[in-house]
Amino acid sequence: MKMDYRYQVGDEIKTVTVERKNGRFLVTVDGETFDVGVASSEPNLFNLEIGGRRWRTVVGHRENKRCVALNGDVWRIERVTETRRQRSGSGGAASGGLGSAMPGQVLDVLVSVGDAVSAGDTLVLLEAMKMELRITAPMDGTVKAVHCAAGETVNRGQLLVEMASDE
Amino acid sequence: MTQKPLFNKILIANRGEIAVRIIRACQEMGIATVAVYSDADAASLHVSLADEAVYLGGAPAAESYLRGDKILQAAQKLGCDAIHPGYGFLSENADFADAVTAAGLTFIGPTGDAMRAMGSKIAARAAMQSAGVPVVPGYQTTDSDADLLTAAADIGFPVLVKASAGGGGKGMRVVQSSAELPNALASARREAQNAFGDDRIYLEKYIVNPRHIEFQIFGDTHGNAIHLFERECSIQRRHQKIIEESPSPFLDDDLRRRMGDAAVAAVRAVGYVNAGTIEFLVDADRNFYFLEMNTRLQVEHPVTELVTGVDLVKLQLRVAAGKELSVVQQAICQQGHAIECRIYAEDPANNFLPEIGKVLRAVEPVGPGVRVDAGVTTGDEISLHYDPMIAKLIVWGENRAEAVRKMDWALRHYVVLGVTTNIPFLRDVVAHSAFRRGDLTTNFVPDHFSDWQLHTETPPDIALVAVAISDMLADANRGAVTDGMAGDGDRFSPWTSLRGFRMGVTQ
Repeated sequence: MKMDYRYQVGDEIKTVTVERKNGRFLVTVDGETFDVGVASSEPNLFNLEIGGRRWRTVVGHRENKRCVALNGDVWRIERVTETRRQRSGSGGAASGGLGSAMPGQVLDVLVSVGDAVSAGDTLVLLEAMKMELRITAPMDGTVKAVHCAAGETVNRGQLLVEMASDE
Repeated sequence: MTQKPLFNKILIANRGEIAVRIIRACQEMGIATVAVYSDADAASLHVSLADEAVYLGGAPAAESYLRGDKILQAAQKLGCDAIHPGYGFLSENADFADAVTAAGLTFIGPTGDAMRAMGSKIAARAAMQSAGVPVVPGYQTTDSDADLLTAAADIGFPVLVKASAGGGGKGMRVVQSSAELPNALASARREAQNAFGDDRIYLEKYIVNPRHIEFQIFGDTHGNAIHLFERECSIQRRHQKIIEESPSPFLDDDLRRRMGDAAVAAVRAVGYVNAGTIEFLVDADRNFYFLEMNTRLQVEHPVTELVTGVDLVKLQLRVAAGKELSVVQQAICQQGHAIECRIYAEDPANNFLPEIGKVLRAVEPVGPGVRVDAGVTTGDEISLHYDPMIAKLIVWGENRAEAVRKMDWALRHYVVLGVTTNIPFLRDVVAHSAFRRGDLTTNFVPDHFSDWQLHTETPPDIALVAVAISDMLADANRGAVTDGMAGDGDRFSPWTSLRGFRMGVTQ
């Protein structure tokens, strides 16, 4: 099974894809895939192993807020809900819908239906709470549908763009 | 172990880490303990550790931890033979100490009279001067503006106007010139009157860029007095200490001996009994001046414990029970180096304002030479009613450089999620070249960290990887993504709980 999670990091929304495979996790961030082993001996403690290198992390959840401690730093990350499930079927292409993290106004739509985009490309620019947010492509793929236009006001979680991956 | 305990049952009139610290000492000594608590603390650590616990009242301290009458009644009702006040709250309340004694119980601390003598800054200065302890040059003879103006000119500007009954910086003014003085006197008197109901003020020479170095002292009822060397507490924010260490990187053997002698002379002069601290200011020319005496156990007492090997709480109990001090001056030495950092729920990037909220998860560092005196841990709420200190992190190393490295390690391994803490700030202080050199003054924080900000780079990908995996597991745990799991043919079910599973990790 495969899931997309979206997180607001600074002024950007990042999509992280997690797939469970052979007892490990394949996690894709910004087009890079990590093959991760996980051990959790206590609540909130996640010891990660990636290519033999180990990372000790502590993750806290409160509603949509996430905080993660890594190497002595604490990072605050907001989960953007309304995730769309992806089912890795028999060779079928994965697809995903991208929504707005916050209520706001669409500043610009940078793509059209049919455009080929790469992971990390900016698709839509939003302004919300005086911050500019970029909605970026979670993977390489093609734009299937655009549900917003510049100047439009959108609600939290409203679907903005749909994509199909290249697989 | 068949020895009769010093006391049968002690009530600890405090909360948080110091209550925990005292309860543990009592448990080691075979003494039963009674905790007290407010509405905010019913489920807190100190209550769960004690043998019995007594509810006092509402969360505000005035309705609970400051209710000396209720506390004394509870102690009597439960058959306690002593009360330990900890620090803060009633610890320096002379009337409470007297009431405890009058009720036939032992107050673990100095007498009410000793607190009164040291609580008035004017009286304390006079007592120290007559004991030959250097005091900051000052003037305290009369209260007339004309006399104070003349005196200020004699002392030399800048001068400090202080409230006689003062504390916490209230009624305090730094005055740079005689023209500013009349207004400063008037406003200091008003503030002192409002804060303490006592408008008496006095003048002191303002020591520019001093170090704050204090001596731990102890007296017993048999006329013995000792010091347990110094703690350097120059690193402060908002007039409160945040990092303390022993030995001071500034003192040499000669200055240390002279200050220690002065501290012991001060104890003898007032016939002080139990634990106390003589605070000194030390200027760049190595002159030292008596600042004030604290008539209680200090927050930062662990650094002294780690370098001297003396358990100060147990020594307090021993002295309070009328025994002689168990150590003599010649036997006390400083071994290695200890540093304490106070971990606070506060925002260093925003004037160190206190933060409130629930601690989602705390993971404390554990290792050789690392001590954590915590009052707050996973699941605890930090409320606006009390000091937002989470814990004291204390390390010991063979020398200062080792201790600094160990503190850096311990801070990096202290995880507190859910509230903003000063841990990143403390890490930057400990890493600063001036701190590493031991170049400390009470202006260290404003001098080096006035516009400190938390780094704001984007989190590393690994952080996002960890968060996403935790979300998948949490969702699975809630049953949000249960279908699809069966297809994996996975019979063992780490998914049912986030506890104790491992997968894909090569052993």
